[in-house]
This record gives sequence, structure tokens and C-alpha cells, in this order.
Amino acid sequence: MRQYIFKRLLLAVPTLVGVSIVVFSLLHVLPGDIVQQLAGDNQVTPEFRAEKEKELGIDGPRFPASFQGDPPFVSFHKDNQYTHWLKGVLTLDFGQSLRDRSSISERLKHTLPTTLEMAGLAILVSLLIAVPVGMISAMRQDSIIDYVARSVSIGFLAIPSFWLGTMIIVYASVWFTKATPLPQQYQQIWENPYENLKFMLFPFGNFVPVGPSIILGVSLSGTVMRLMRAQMLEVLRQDYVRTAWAKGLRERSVMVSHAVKNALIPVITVVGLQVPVVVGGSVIIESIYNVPGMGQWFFQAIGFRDYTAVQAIALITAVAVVASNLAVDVTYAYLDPRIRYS
Amino acid sequence: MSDTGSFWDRFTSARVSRRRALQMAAATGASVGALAVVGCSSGTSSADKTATAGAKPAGGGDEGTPKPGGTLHGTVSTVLGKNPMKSASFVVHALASYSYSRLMRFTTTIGELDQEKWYVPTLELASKVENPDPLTYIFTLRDDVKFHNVPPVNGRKLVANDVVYSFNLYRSISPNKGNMAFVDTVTASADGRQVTFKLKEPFGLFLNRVASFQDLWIMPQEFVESSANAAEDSMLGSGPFIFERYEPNVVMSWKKNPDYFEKDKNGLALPYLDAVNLAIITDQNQVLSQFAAGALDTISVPPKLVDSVTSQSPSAIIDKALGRNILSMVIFEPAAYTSGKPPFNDERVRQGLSRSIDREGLLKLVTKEGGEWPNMPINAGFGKTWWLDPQGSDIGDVGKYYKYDVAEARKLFSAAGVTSIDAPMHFSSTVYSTAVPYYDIVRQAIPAMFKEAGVSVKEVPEEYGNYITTTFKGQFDGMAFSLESVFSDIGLYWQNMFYPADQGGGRNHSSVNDAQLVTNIKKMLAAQTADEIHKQNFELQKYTSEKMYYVPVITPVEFGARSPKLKGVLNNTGPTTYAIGTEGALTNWFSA
Repeated sequence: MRQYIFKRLLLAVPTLVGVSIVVFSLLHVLPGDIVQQLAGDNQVTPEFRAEKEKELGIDGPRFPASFQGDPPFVSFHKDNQYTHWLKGVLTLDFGQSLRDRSSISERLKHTLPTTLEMAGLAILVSLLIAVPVGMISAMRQDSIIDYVARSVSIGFLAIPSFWLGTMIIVYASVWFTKATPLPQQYQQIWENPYENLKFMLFPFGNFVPVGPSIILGVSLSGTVMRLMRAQMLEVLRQDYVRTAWAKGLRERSVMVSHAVKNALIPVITVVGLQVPVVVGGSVIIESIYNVPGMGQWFFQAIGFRDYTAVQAIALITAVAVVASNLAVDVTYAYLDPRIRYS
Repeated sequence: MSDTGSFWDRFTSARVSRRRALQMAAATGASVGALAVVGCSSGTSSADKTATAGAKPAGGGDEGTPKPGGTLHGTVSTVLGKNPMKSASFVVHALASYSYSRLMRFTTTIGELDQEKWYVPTLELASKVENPDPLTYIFTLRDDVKFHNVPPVNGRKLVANDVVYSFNLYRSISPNKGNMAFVDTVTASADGRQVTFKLKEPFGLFLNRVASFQDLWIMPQEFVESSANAAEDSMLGSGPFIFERYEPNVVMSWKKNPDYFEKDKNGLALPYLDAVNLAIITDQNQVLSQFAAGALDTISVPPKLVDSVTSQSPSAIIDKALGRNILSMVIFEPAAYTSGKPPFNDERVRQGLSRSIDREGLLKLVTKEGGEWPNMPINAGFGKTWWLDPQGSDIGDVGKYYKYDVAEARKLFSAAGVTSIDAPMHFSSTVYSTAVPYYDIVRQAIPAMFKEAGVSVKEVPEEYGNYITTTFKGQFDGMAFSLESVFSDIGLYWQNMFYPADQGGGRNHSSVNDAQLVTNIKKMLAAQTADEIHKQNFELQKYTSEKMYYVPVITPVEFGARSPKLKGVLNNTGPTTYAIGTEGALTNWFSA
């Protein structure tokens, strides 16, 4: 297993380098740039551009090599933006925001845990809803409970989280004159766990579960719920489950020890694939709920062509996706003893 | 004559009902700081150039005796920086105004102010201005101004050399430095009490330019040079509030400057507030819900949501005023003016397009309070001293080019030999649509209006970062629906929008190339009497109304909402909207 994990980590390196190159390149292809943003509505003179690019450290060649139509066709640049940035990343120095010169690494210290926590709680919420409901739905196939559960799951799938979040914000203020806490009232989980969890789960107080993690989790749960039900139905028809019933085991034992564990394997795959979905969803949900996380920052950074910030966030998101996939694979082995990595 | 009913019967039945359904989820409205009111209207000349007494903040108005203390909770949607010398953005200047001061500012009072006094420069750091000849202005500084008591300045007195340093800094790094290109030298007197501005050429609007929120903020040298990014990381000036904290996407806050130099008419120290906290909130629904819940004291309100805000917060005070001086307009591809590319090279086509726009109908669609029609390039927000009303009698025959008449529009197209127009219309699909409440509504309505006149428009949405660096810079084909940012005097509109790019025409989006117009603008700017400036300004507006180089659209009434406990709110914040710290929050206070 250790060897497998080591190999996967090694394979993740070219993936991450590839992601960084793609992000680095595509950002500069976008129309508009940070120099123009800094100039506001004014014309950018060549002098202003040269001065600003030098000041921001974006004046040299972008990559170690550049191609041209004439011999020697390839030019190499020892001093280039990409290598400089990559060296910084290796020491966890992501540079400064081009927009407001704040340290990206410092800002990540505050925003990354917030987004990861929100995403983690969302996945937890989705599992807490989806797994038991999917199980019960399968166990009571074609009953009223099953119909209700399936309708609800379709509803969860159909309703976008940003719409649901917006409606909650609007109607909480219209009907109850309640609002979520202001962004400056947010506290990290290690500073004040109670207030932090309240912000994420019950921002209007009174344990009303309509926080950003709940809304994201509810949206995710539809898919998982349907998958869990389908897997349970399949597993329940397997010989080993029939054998378990024949041995006279109690329902709880059959379900928990034999059925659920096997039904969970594809569910875990889907949950792993939901990590980028949750991080993507955080971009909008964080704005709607005033969550000072990485998603909101990412959204603004793209608009302002804040290349260093976007690169850092994109790379970290890629790391999260790679890590979650690895975690899924490792979890397989735990859930299914037949799976061995060597 | 216009045929408003027929067009709007069709248009509103298709669009308004859907819009109303979306009202609650609408994401509109600017939230710059504590903008309780956005305003406008009239102005008068700065040509009365010798002033000896500053207009003191009224301090209380008829709302009772101001009570010191309390924290103002406002909101801002984005922070683009802290250094006003390095930014052209009004957002940066609005935030900087809490910490920095200027030699002059614009007249302010609490509540309604006589429209003729809007856009009148008055004294701030200066106690006296003398204008011995058209090329010389001598500012005598107040004797009681200190910088914030924060290292490395530690509350030292502000002297003339600080003004000279700030001007040199402005001239070397500000993207707006062209606004004062006519200044030759700035020197300090030996006693440190006077600053002399020598101009290269006469400039009748000089004091307006000095009062501008976009230009000469006074910054202490030892602070700016204390580290490479000192003025980017913090703010330190002589303004009413001391910068305290900035957390990206979270909050920006200030505390009271106890050594601020101004007092109200009762002798009470200003500012009254102990602190200002601006929550950084990007989502407009959040802004509205926070206000309803009492977490914010003041917000701006999209016109369509005024009723919602009133019903949620019955005690809220709704302030309204004509729109800020953001000019909405249709602009044309530069090739029309640089190489005579048809059809927009023909003024009859542009006039026809103007006559295809039902401005009154647009105003009704945007807000039931209506508004005014802008001229080009002077917005109604400047008031009738500066703005030639397209519906008034003074504009004469050219006023017809603003009147909605589809049949006349078609005739103009025919006269130009144009049988059909099929053109793209570029617009910003982000930022403007949330920052300026009426933008998206108007943007959707104009193509429908043009269609009535036989003009087919292909809408080209552009993400703001793309739009502002391409279309706004004149890199587009066909047409665009655009906004012009705010300037603090009419001269800046004329210069920016009609001068060639290399002579200061930074906003000449369509590369308008009219030598006679430029000559006449220069002549107006050199005029030395208020009457002469006004006369020439109106003549220029008549001329551009006929040429229709850009087609102006509407100036709607805009709204702000505030807690009934928040007093001392300026209801005349046309120019001061953008210097909200110095000229807005300065007089705010909370009743019990």
C-alpha cells in the first residue's frame, strides 16, 4: 500500500506541473490584463505598461522556452516568470497579489482552511443525508418512503445551490428580518469552534440548518442518494446477502455488515469526484453567504486578472482533487478486501 | 412626436413582468462605502476665484444636536487598492477620502442643498485662495492641520512642502496626472504657510480641478517613502479617520482621528463617529438582508427594490436624488471617425439612432421616480448651470435629436442612404450590471428600441475585464453600450471624450476627430469668467447634440436607504459621493 501511495504521489507531480502550465498559459490568453485593470478607465501608455509590468514582475518571458518561425526556432530564457513562480511554489511562497500586493501565502492561510472546512462539511452533510435515505429507500423499494425519497433526491438534483442559497438569504430577511453574520464576524474553527460551525451550518441561529455547508451538501446529496439506492438494490440481490438472510442474521446486521459496505464502493468514487464540484460550488456560495474563503477570492481574482492569485488557487484546487482521488483509491482497499494495491 | 405608449405597451408586457418576478433575487446596486445617497444636479462656476472662508460643515441641520460616538457600518463591494495616487478608480478615491485630505473640496451641507451650490469648490486644507493673475493661484494653508498621530509621521503639522511633495508625486505616478497638465510649477513659501501654483495657460476651472476627488490628495513624504509599498499597504493622511484594518474580502475599517482640524458650527469636534467599518460584500442580496436585519446603517438601493426595502424596513429613510454623474451612452466604432466607415460615419445615422431611443420610457422602466436626459458629454447630474437640458428651450432646434420618433429616425436613415443597419452592440456583462442598477435594464431595452426603427443589433456580452481593455479602449466594431465614469468638472468630460488620445483624450472611445471642437473646448477652458464658461459650454453642447458623436441615454433617480438613527447625512452628494469619507461620514452621527 505504501508503495502504491508513493507511486501515486510521484504520478501527481507531472499532473500538477501540467495544470500549472495550462493555468499559467490560459490566463495570459484572456483578453485584458492586470496593467489595464490598474490603470482603470485611463489609456495605458507604453511607458506606463513597461513600468507596471516591471513593478509587478511580469515583464520578462513567461516560459523557459519560446518558439518562433525563424531559426533557431526555439529560444531559452533562464530568467522567466514561470520558473520564478514555480521556485516560489516549492517553498510555499506563492508571491504577492498583483491587485493589492497582499501575500498570497498569508491569505491562503485564512481562506484555504475556510473553503476546505466548508467543502468537508458539505460532503459530510451530503453523506449524512444520502446514505441513510438511500439505504432506507432501497430497503423499502416501491413504498411511500421510497417514492418520497426519490422525489426529494430529484428535487435536490434539480435545485441549484446558488438559487437555494439566494432564496434563503432573501426570505430570511423578508420574513424574519434575519441575516447571516457579516464577513468580519467570521472566526476560524480553531479560534472559536462554536461560532465557526454556527456560521457554516446555522448562520441565522436557532439551529436552523440553512448554512452554506448545508446548502452545498443538500445539492450534492441528490446524486449520492440515488446512487446509494441503486447500489443497495443491486447488492441486496447478491448471493452473499441471500446467504446472510438464510443464516438468520438480523436485518441490521445484514444491512450494515454485508450490504452497505459493498454498496458504498461506487458511492465513494462519486464522493471523490464531488470534491472539485464542491470547490467550484464554493465560488458562488461563498459570495452569497459572505464566507471569506478561497472561492470568493478566486472569482474576484479572475475578474481582475490577478494572475498570481488565480495560479495559486488553481494549483491548490488541483492538489485537492489529486489528493481526494488518492484518498478514494485508498478507501477502496479498506472497504473491499479483494482490492490490493501492489 | 413620440409614440411612447405603443412601444412600451409591447416592451413592458414582455419584460417587466419577468423582471418583477426576479426582483427579490436581483443582484444590482453599487455599495461604495457608506453611500446613503447618490446625487447630483446643479453646479456653478469656480470662476469666482477668491475665497476667504471655508464652508463649515453644518453639524446637525434640523435633526437635533449631534451626539459624538458610535460606529458606522457600511459596505463596499470591492477594494481595488489604498493608494489614491496610483489609481484612477473612484472606489480607491472614495476609500482614501476617509484618511486623506485635499486643499479644497466641494460644498456640503446636511439635507437638501441649493442645486446652484453643487459642484462649488470650497476650502479644506487651505484657509484662503488668491488669484492675482490668470496664471497664479496662492493657497494659504490652515494653521491647525496635523497628520495622523501614527508612525512615522507621528502627528506632525501639515506644511506647504507636503503639498509640493504630493503634487510632484501626483505628477510622476498618478494615472490621472493629465488632469493637471496645465500646471507649470508648484512652490512652497519659506514660512511653510503658502503654496503657489503657476499655470502654463489660463484655466477657468482650476479650483474645481484642485477640489477634485481624483487628483491632489495630500500625503506625507516620510510615510510614502517609509517602505516600498507603504501607501499600498496602509493609509496615512490628515483626514477625519485613521486607517485601522483591511482584510481582503472581509472588512476595511477606520477609527476617529481625534486631532482632526474641523469643528462643526457649534464648535463640536468632527468627526462625530468613533469608527467606520465597511464590510466587503459582493452579493447585493446580502447587502439588502444585512440592512433589513440592522447590521448595516446605510446602503444604496437598486430602484426596483425600493419598495422591497421599504416593506422590510418600514422605519428606514429612503433618500433619493438624480443619478450620479455616470453617463450612459451608445458609442460607435472608431473606424467611423478615423476612416469614414459607414454607416456610423454619417451624423444622420447617429441622429436617427438617438431618435430611436425612448428616453422617457426608459426612465419609467428603470424607476417610477423617473429622471432626466443627459446631454453629451454633460450629464443631468451636473445641474442646469452646466447641463443643457435636451428638453429645455435653450437647446433650440437641435433638441429634436433627442426626441423619440421612430418615423423621423427612419427618415434620417433614408436621407443617409442607409436601408438597413445590422451591427453588433458590445456591452459589459459583469460588474456594470451589478454596480449600476439601471445598466442591465437599459442595455436590454435599447436593442428592442433600435429594432423598431429597423436597426438590427447583435448583442455581444463581454466579461468586464475583457470589455474594459478592449471595447472601452475603442477596440470594437459596430456599437457599444457604455458608461462613462464620473469626473468632478465638465472640463474633464470635454477633454477626455473629445481630445485626441495623445492630448488628453483618455476616454475618446470612438476616436472622435473634430479639430474645430477641440479648439472650441480649449477656448472655453481658458475663459476666465463664469458667464463666458457657461455660454461656451452650452454652445459646445448644442454642437455635439447635432453631431451625436456619442448618443447619450438616461440619468435616472437613484436611491439610498439608511437607518433612522443615522443623522447628518449629506443629501447633495453629487461630487462628494466619491469623497465619502471627508465629505460624507465627517458629519454622520447616531441619535439615541
